[in-house]
Amino acid sequence: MEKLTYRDTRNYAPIDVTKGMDLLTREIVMADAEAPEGYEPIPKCKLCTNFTGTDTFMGTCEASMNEPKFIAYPDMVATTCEMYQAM
Amino acid sequence: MAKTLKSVLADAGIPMDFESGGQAPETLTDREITREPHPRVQKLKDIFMESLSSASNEFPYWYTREYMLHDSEVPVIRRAKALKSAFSHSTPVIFPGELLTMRKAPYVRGSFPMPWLSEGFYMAKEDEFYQEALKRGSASVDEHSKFGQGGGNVPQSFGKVISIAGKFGIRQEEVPALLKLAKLWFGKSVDDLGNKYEQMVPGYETKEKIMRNIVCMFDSGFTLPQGREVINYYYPLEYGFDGIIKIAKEMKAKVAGRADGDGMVGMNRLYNYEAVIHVIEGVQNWILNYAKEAARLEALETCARQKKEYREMAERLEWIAHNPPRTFIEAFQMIETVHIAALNEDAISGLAPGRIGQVLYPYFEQDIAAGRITEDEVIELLELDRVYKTSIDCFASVGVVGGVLSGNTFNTVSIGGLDKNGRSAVNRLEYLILEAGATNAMPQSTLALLYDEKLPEDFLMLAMEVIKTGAGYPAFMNTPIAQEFLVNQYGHEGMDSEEARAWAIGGCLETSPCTWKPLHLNGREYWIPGGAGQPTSVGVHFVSMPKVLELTLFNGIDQNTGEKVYEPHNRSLDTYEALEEQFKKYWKETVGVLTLTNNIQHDIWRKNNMAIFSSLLKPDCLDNGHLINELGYRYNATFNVESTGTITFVNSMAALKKMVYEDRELNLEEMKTALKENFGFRDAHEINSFSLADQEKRDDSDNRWDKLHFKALQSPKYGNDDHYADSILLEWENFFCPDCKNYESLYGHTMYPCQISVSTHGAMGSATIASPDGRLSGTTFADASLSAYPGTDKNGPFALLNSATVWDHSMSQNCQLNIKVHPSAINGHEGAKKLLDLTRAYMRKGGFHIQYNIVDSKVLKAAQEHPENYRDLMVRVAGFTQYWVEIGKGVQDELIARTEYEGV
Amino acid sequence: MNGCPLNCIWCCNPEGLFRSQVIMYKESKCVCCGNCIKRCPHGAVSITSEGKLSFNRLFCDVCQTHECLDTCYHGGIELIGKIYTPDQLMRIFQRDRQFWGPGGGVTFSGGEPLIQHAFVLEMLKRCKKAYLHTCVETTSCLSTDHYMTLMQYVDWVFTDLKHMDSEKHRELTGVGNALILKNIETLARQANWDGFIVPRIPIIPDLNDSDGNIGATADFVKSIGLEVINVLPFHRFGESKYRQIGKFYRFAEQKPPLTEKMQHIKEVVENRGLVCFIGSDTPF
Repeated sequence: MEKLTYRDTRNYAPIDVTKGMDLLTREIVMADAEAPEGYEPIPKCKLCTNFTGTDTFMGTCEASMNEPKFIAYPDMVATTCEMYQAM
Repeated sequence: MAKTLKSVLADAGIPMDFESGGQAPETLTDREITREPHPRVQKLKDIFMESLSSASNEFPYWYTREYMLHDSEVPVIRRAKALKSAFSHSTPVIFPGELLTMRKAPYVRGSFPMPWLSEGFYMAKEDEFYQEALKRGSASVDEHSKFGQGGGNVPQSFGKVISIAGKFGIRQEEVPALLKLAKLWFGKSVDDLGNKYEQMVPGYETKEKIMRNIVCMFDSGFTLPQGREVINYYYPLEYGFDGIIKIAKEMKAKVAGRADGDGMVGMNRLYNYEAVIHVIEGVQNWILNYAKEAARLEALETCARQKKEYREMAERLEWIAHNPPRTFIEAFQMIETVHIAALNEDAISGLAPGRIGQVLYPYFEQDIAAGRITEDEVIELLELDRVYKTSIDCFASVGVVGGVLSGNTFNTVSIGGLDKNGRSAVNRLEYLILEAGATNAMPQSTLALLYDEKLPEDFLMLAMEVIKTGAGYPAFMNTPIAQEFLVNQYGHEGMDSEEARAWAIGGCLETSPCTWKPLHLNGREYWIPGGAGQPTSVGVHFVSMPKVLELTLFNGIDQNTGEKVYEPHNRSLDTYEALEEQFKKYWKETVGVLTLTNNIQHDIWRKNNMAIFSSLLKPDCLDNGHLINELGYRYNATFNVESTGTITFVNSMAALKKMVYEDRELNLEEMKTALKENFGFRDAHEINSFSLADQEKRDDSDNRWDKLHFKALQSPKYGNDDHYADSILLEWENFFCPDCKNYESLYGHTMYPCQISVSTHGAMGSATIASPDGRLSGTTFADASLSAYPGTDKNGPFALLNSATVWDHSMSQNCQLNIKVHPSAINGHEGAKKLLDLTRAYMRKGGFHIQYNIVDSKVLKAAQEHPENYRDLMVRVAGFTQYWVEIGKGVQDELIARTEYEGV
Repeated sequence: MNGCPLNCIWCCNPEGLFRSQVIMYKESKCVCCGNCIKRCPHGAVSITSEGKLSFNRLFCDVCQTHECLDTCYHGGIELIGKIYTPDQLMRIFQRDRQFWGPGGGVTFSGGEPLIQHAFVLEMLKRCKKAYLHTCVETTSCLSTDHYMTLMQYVDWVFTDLKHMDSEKHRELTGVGNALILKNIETLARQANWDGFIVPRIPIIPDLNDSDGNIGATADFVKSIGLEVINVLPFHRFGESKYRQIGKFYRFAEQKPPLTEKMQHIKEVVENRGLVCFIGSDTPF
């Protein structure tokens, strides 16, 4: 299984763009540092079946009602998205 | 016989029953204020101190996605649906130890751009709009606003973080999407649409030149269209969100299909109520998402105490998502939630919570009586609120954020004032607000003390003790003066003296119209004050008086850029009266054209970008079915004309009058040459200091200008109780204040003056050549509107305060006087009393506002050299308190130079 | 107010010793442009080897014209002493009183303010009329007639008592203390005067701080029916002013008395049944 960075897990509360708090240890950790094994991945567009696209930073949300389909980007957090479908 | 000591002390009212060889009286011992916040607060504060201003794409993404889906919808519904989607999709972030939660964006200091207002500036890097934007003037403001290089700002990109607007960091992963979103708003934003139509105003070319040459700083309609107002928490507190939806549904049934005599906008009420329901549902989703997150964290949590706190938080949020709060902490969470929701709806700075000590008092009183909470727990919550409010960032263009706000968002809390019946409104909770301001000194919320002779002495003394901690607050604002202004300005909209008593400070020191509403809690009724007026500090933003004088002297041509800003007047200006008259002509031309163009910008804003959430909070929108754009607010005459550099202008006119027109020591041409030659000095930008004291001579100056410069500096100056200079101020005010009534806002009301510089005196000074008072090119103007120019008030504070009150302050919405006092001057209890005496006297003389900066200039210099050691040093800038390290260099230099009084 | 009949060797307000206006040199502001050197009609200004200005005070102290002042464009030369008419001064009092608390008032100080007795009398009368509380800080060293006339309009008197031994007093201040003691006593004993008198002792280490002198002072104060003594610890804050008016200050290195010493002096006074306050830490 691929290693997760802190900012890709749900056991992390972002303080700012560079760092956040590990909610299990209460430590301040770097956003891009590797999270310990077993941390729960946070839903993001890149993990959603509705997301298509090959570009590193851009893609499309196939679940959108817009015409054409609206943009999406892989890194967007989707915990509140009602259309999110985990891969 | 000579008097006895005892009788002398008795005369002075000092109760001293001394015995021979007795102790010094107790009243003289210093009262120590502990300055440590509660441990839980300290932990969260430590996190805040370490956090960078971070921008997120989430809110604009969902807003844009939904907005673009409904392109033929009624505008207010379209906006409501976009807001609902954005609120519903905001990711909750909660930190352990928090009691009050919910934030603007998923970071501690999170915020986000609103491309629907203006998409131009963060597109700049990649886009052809950049050149277009440059031509429109706003980018040149950006160049003149330097941020302090420290604190939580992200002035440069690093790693995976991109700096935008010189302040915010955004993740690289989000930038391409942000630029894509921004492009979707090209030609549609308030900025772009407004610009399309403002070009139809005759004189538009002049407006562009005025903006480009920094005669005026900032457009009004798309920068910070709302704010500088007092929010009103009444409806959510009284009815709860479900209750408001119920009202809206009932009203929909009443108004559907009916004009009720209003053929223009009567029918719109249906859509407005429908929009209100959409937005509230979005806010409810947002609150419930936080409740879910708290419940999720509870499940993960192992510490029993924290687990319980998460559970209580989840229950609290679930309750307030639907119902009116029942307890102090529920009410506190409710107002925090409502506050952030309003801030997320629009680009807003200066959304003042207002008199929260009086708004929350019913809950406080009943909880304390029932033993549900202790005063210590209340102080802890008030301390947490300070962390919470200080964390609020506002995303606007760098010019606005740095140049005006110094990164500050002005969530001013007002204390004191009068109640509905004209008695002192001070209550026990307000003492605790002051205490928390000392135990957790942070820039927000800045405290404004609404001074009145009726306020209790111990409350005022406590305020003085808080000032002495160096926190920079409270500032003092004069209730009777404000009431006089309010009745004059809003009388035709129904303002009377009882209603005027509800006033509070919006923004940093804008006098805002408010009203009383009856709050019910457990069968008891309390009349609470809250905002009832539109935003202030909208209309014509900061016009630089010294710059207009420069243009008057030089026949309409800007001496920095060489551009012809105004049509040349081609007059010889051979009398002082001619100079004065020409200045006023240019002034009126400037204000006139800016009124028209800004009216168009605001009109575009109100068509597509109207406030829905903020509107439903404000009386009387829910009652009359009209939002802000259809004059639903009770008070709408809030647009103003802002001036900057008043005292630099007054001193310059005094110098010209004396040296050129009366003593005839030199002629006007010689003076102009000296100004162009900067009196033989180098430019402030060359030496990177913007304080007059630090300026350096040019090597080739051969001291030719020394004598003239010395004479200019010695010529009569405001602030010395010298009628020569003070009468020029008086004449100006007597022209300026009534002149504002000659301009009409888009809402059909006449305007009024706003005389605060915020931080523009630095940026605007930076763009202005030397002035006849001896101020050198590029250096800051005198700050505020009534502070003396640094170092020129030589006769002490009494003379300064006398000069400041030569004119009637109630003619203006505000005016501002900052005094820096050396800590040694106000030592001990006696010092606090002297400071109160000084303040009280100024208020009695009709002064509207005074604030004190209690910091040794040596400390400030050290902090400039070693910012890393002074992360938590706070200073009072101009109407607000800010961390030293986050203030731009120009204003830092000016603060160091500001005259320090060593004895009061 | 300028001018003083005493010449205390530790004086902290040396500019007050002069009856006339005095030139003060502010080294930190001077850029050595040389304008004043060229302009001075007495040739009294020169430049030292360290690149600073030197003023020949023999000329400067008697100069009435101060040409150098007009040629200084950097604030390096200032004139100490301003001339006020009673009207001008009264206007300032009336302005400032608005900012005082209920305990505020006017204090005449110096130098010795009472030397300018005609002016001060006029001001005191006007203050009385304007309901202004008045206070003088005096050496009490002037003719008893003038002293008593003035005091009829004064509410509070702070008077120095620098030494009880007249010879010692002469050594330290240039004059004996007989007249001073007589004035204080006369005032204290005047039946119908309802002012307040606080004798003050500046405490100069080793010169007047012996138990003997303090005790004798306290005895005197008690004997004339007064009850308070204010002791002021020596400070050397006046040092820079000596430099600026071109004078040498022999107390530049003198340390202030120790806190313990001041406490001891307070006890000596209190043992005699008087109230003693140290420094500015007083209730008045």
